Parts: sequence; C-alpha cells; structure tokens
Amino acid sequence: MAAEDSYKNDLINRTFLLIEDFEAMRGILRDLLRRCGARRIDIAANAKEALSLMRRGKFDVDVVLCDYHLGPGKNGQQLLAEARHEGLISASTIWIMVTAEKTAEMVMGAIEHQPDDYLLKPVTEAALQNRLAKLIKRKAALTEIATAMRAREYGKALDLCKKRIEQDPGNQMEIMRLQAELFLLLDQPEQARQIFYRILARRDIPWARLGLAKLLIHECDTEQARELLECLIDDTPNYLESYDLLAQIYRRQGAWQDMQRVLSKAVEISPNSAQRQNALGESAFRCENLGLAETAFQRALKLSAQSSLKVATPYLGLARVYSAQNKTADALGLLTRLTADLESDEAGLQAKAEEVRVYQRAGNMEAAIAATKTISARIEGGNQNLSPPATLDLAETFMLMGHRETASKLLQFVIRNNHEDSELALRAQDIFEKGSMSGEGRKLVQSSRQQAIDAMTQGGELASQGKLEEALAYLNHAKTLMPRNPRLLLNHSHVAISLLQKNGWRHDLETAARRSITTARQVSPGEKRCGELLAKLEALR
Amino acid sequence: MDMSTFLVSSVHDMKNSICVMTAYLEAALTDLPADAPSRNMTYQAAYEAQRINHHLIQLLALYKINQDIYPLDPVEVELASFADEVISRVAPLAAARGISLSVHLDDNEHNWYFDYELLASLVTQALHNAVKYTRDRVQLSLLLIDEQLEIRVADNGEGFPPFMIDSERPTLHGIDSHSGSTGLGLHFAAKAAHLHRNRTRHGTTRLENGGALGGGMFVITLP
Repeated sequence: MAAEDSYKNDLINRTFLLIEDFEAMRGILRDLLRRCGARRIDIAANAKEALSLMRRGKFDVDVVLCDYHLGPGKNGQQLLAEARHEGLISASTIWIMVTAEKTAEMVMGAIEHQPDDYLLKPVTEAALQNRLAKLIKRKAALTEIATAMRAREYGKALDLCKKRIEQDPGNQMEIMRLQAELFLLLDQPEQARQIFYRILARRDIPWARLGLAKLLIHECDTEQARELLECLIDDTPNYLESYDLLAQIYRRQGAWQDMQRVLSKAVEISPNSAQRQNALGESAFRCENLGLAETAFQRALKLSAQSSLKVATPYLGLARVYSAQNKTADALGLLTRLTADLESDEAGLQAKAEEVRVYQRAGNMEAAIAATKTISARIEGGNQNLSPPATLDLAETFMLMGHRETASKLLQFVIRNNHEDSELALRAQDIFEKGSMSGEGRKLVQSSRQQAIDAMTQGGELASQGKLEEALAYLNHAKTLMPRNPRLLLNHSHVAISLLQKNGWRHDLETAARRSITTARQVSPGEKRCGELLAKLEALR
Repeated sequence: MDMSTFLVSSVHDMKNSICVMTAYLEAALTDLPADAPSRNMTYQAAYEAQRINHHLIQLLALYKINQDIYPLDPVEVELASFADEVISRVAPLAAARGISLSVHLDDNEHNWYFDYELLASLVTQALHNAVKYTRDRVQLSLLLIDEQLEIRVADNGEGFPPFMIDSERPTLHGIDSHSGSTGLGLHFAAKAAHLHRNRTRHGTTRLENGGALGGGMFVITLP
C-alpha cells in the first residue's frame, strides 16, 4: 500500500489536461483521474479549446489524456502534431490517446509522431492507474536522454542510455533504438550496425532492417539497399517508411516509373501523408502522368492545409500540372494562394519564378517580363537563404527570360556552395544549356567548383602549418562567398575548435563553431563529421 | 455505406456506452458499504459489462482478421507491467468471489514482442474464465520455453471436459454444448495468436488439464 500512496502523492502535484468531446465521458474520465490521485485537471471539449488552454498555460502540462475522436475539427492526432509543432508540450509531457480501437492509421504512423500510449475504451480505474505509473517511470528515464539529444550532447545521451540499460531490464529495445540513432549522429556507423545486428539476431524488427538499409545507402551500396527494402516491404507491407526510403533511392537514380509505382502502393495503404503525396506527384509529373500528379498534389495540399507545417511543394507541383494542361488561370490562382498561405520570402520568390514560366508557356510575354523584373528587384539584396532547389528554379526562370547574367550568377552561387553535389551540377548544366550557354556554362561550373576547392585547400594548409588565427580569418572571408557550403562550414568549425583546444574556452569562438555546424547540418543533413565535431565541442566544456 | 462502416461505427458507439456503464458501476462500488447486499450484484454487473466489451473486441478483430485488414501492432512489452495490467482488470471480480490470483514471471526474460492490446484482451478473457470455473485459485505464468513465450492461465477447478482438449481445433458447435459459451473466445484466441510470427514460427493456443494448479490450463505460445 505504501508504494501506491507515494504514487498517488506523485500525481497530486502533476498538471493534467483532459480533452474529450462527449460530455458524459468527460465527467467519467475526470472522476477516474481524481480517483487515481490527480488534483490539477484542466478540461477541454475540443481541439480548439485545448490549444487555447495550452497556449495560455503558464506551466507545462505533465499529462494529456486525449480522445482520438473529437467531433468536427482536428482529431487527437492532428492536435498532438500541432501541440508538438508549436512547442506547447515538452519532451517530458506524457500524451495518452484514448480510443475505442486501434486503427490501421494509428499503427502505421511514423514513430516520432505517435503519442506515448494508446488507452482503449472502456477505461477503468485500474487500467488508468497502471498505465500512468508505467508511463511516468518510462518517461522519466527517456526525458533525460531526449533532453541531452536536443542539446546535441550526444555523448552524454549515450552514457545515459547505457546506464538505463544496466539499471532496468524493461523496454530495452526502445533504448537500443536511441543508441543506434545516436551512433549515426556521431558518425559511428559501425556501432549502429552492431546494434541493428543484435536486434535482428533474435527477430526481424522493421526499424532495424530499415536502419541497415539507410547505412547501405550512406555507403552508396544502392543495389543492396534496394533489395533489402523490397524484402522488408514484402514481409511487413504496413511499414510505410520502407516505401518512402525506396522511393528516395529511385529518385536519385531518376527511375521515375519505379518511384511512381512504389509510392502508388504506399498511398493506397495510407493516403494521409502530405510528403508522400508530394513525392508521388513529382514522380507522376516526370512520367507525364498528369492525372495522377494532379490528384496527388491536390491531396497533399488538402493535408497540409490541416497541418501546421506548410511547404511550397504541392502548390508549385499543382501549378506546373495546371500549366501543362493549359489551365493558366488555375495555375496563377494557385501561385497567389502559395504566396498568401506561406508568408515566407522564399515561397514568394518561388511563386513568382513559377508565375513567369506559366505566363511564358501561355505565350503572355509581357506579363512574364513584368514578373521577372519583380524578382530581380527582390533578390538584389541577396539570396543567401534560398535552398538549392529554389535557387535553381529562379535561375531557370531567368535563363528562360534571357537574363543570362543573373541566371549564371545564381547557378555559380549554388555550385560554389555545393561543390561536391554532382546531381546539382548536372541540373545547373541543364539550365545553362536551356540558355544556349553550353560551353560557357561548363567553364563556369568548373571554375565555381575550383573556387570552393581552392578555399578548402588554402584553409587546410594554413591550419596544418599551425597558423590557426590566419586560417580562421581566411575561412571567415571564404564564408562570405560560400555561406552555405557544408565542407567549408565544417572546416571553419574545426579550426575554431582547434583554437579553443589550444588557447582555452572562449564564448564567441564556441558560438561560431556551433553555428557553423548547425548550418552545415541544416544544409546537408547527412553530412559526415558533424557529430564528431559536436562531440569535441562537448568535451571542451 | 458498406457493412464494415456500420460495424465499426456501432462498435465504437457501444464501447462508449460500456465505458459509461463500467464507470458508473465502479463509482457505485466505491460508494457501497462493504457489507451491502447489492455489492455482489454490482460486481456481477461490472463483470457482464466487461464480457460484452470482450465480445465486441473479438467480433471486430475477427472481422478484420478475416478481411486481412487487422492492424497488428507488435511492440516490445515489459512482461511484469503487462501482467500487472491484466491482473488488475480481473482483481475486483476475483476478490468478490474470494479467489486468490498469483503471478509467476520468468527471471530470465523481461520483455517480449507482441500486440499489447490484442494479447491483453485475450489474457484478460482467459483469466475471467478461470475465475469463473476455478475452486479458489488462479495463476498467471509468463515463461520462456524453447525460445518462445508461454502465457499460461491455470486454475484448480474441475478442468476442461475431454472433448474440448481432444479437438485439435475447437469448433463453434463443440464448445457451445458444454458451457453455454459461444466458442468465440477460443476461436479468436487461436486466430490472434497465429497473427504473431517470428520468421517461420507462428503463435498457437492450447488447452490442458492438470496444469500448475491441478485444474484447467489455457496456454498461448508466442514466438
């Protein structure tokens, strides 16, 4: 009894949020929570009320008990996504979804979007009590690890995982999964592979097989990765992440038919991922399957309208489809919506660039020229924060409109900042060719690459001669030319860290090193060395 | 609208009703004095509500399994906590009938991999049955045998009638005549166990007499 009392005392101080649309159930669940020992309970009847309560709340909610079906408006899953996206709940918040049954959709969602647990109706006092106790214990251990991971203290997170496995034999697989993820972040693929093997020795766990496939892709063994993923899909057809990864392989190979086939199958199983619908739309458009592309982009648009994370892809994709179908007015209407809905400079520019092409395709050169002028005026202040695809889009538009110099500047910028990306170089060369600048383009691509390589060499030489201050100054200068080149950014942080190691800790240097790593990882998520450098920074503290 | 939509939506609705019923009965039990004569009837009512719930779960699950659309969700389960939960679901009924419940866990295996809700429902049902037919004891064991997990529910009652044990696969008719149960439970258990697979091995169920406590024993084996 003593253990139960201490657990009840534990609940007294925690804050609860109960979200349930059905009035009778609301009263019942509140009473159940009270009988379990909860005292601080907020109640909402739907997603809207819940969001405004969470936004107003001065303290984090500790436990959310949420019905999956919440009547009209957002359901429990969409509410959870929104709360996470807005940062209304923290890593330590326990989210329990109450539902009559577990549906395929709940089971197939990616793990990072899942609630902490599902509780099936009818909820009894004993079941609720048992679940709360279990989740509180598990969350306490995982929160520490999650917090370390968020602070990018991967070494510390690994230590915590190890300690946890030694202390508690329960739920080890969950911890091993985190360990593998951490090893990958620290760029220690062999360690991660060992974990996958250990799991797979006993049982074919889908995430471990997927992890192996990712390692193979990383090592450029595409053929084996493809085989592994096809087996995985055969064995566990409901594990959708394997379809998405396979589609990525096909995209890289330009195998649009295959990409369309595998994504069509995935969408049949679960149509509710905007990202997947976008990818399907892209592949269908490439296969000139305009009907399928249209459906896919439309679904993606609808899905992203319900979510808090909006991207330009479905708008641009659908506008391209309409334009190809000669539905100019529809295409333009969509681009106006894109600008209004996303409210970001990048999206606005991408919409404008697409607009030019829509006009051009429709033969309205006057409007195309006017729109091009708007873009030129807007990017005069600099275009450093545009993603490579967006920059290429802009360049292609300028090239089509005969603004060769602007186009070529943009292309050189992309190449300088991504000098190792041969796929981008090919696309850039394509665009040069569209502007009849084939030979000149080749030279420009070559010289932009060389410029980047020279900067790496020069910086490296200075550093290896021990002239760390000079190397840092040189790299700082190179960074203004190539602010988004991951290799350069990592070299920069490497030199900064060496200086810290030599002369002791300095706040500005640490910040600079960290910022370079963060940008590098943002630009190129799979970039090697990021983890290694972060570990070094961590060790310096 | 096709049949499955009706089926699913009415099951959801019925589950909400059961939820309300169960909650009110539980609340009534907290309010009733320990020696109130209506106490046992209230327990019985709560138990019957649970039974309806199990049947609903089983009907819906069987429907989905037969349509090949059951969303199996195997996860790593901490066995001690799983045992706690299923025992807590039958504890009130067992206490009301003066039956003692015990749990026996394997020291060498702390986790296993299966669909939590599916197995929780299955084992709870088996425990309910055991509580109904036992003399005064019921034991739940979770043991690692031949690299598989055996979940055993044993009692010290009369045991199963021979024809139930003999039949390789209990048919719906065979069971009906004995206990008045529909046979749905065993059929569901076999199907649900079979959904679980590790490489070439599938889960199974079986009935035994003698068992750990000398009465009947229901066993689920999970690879």
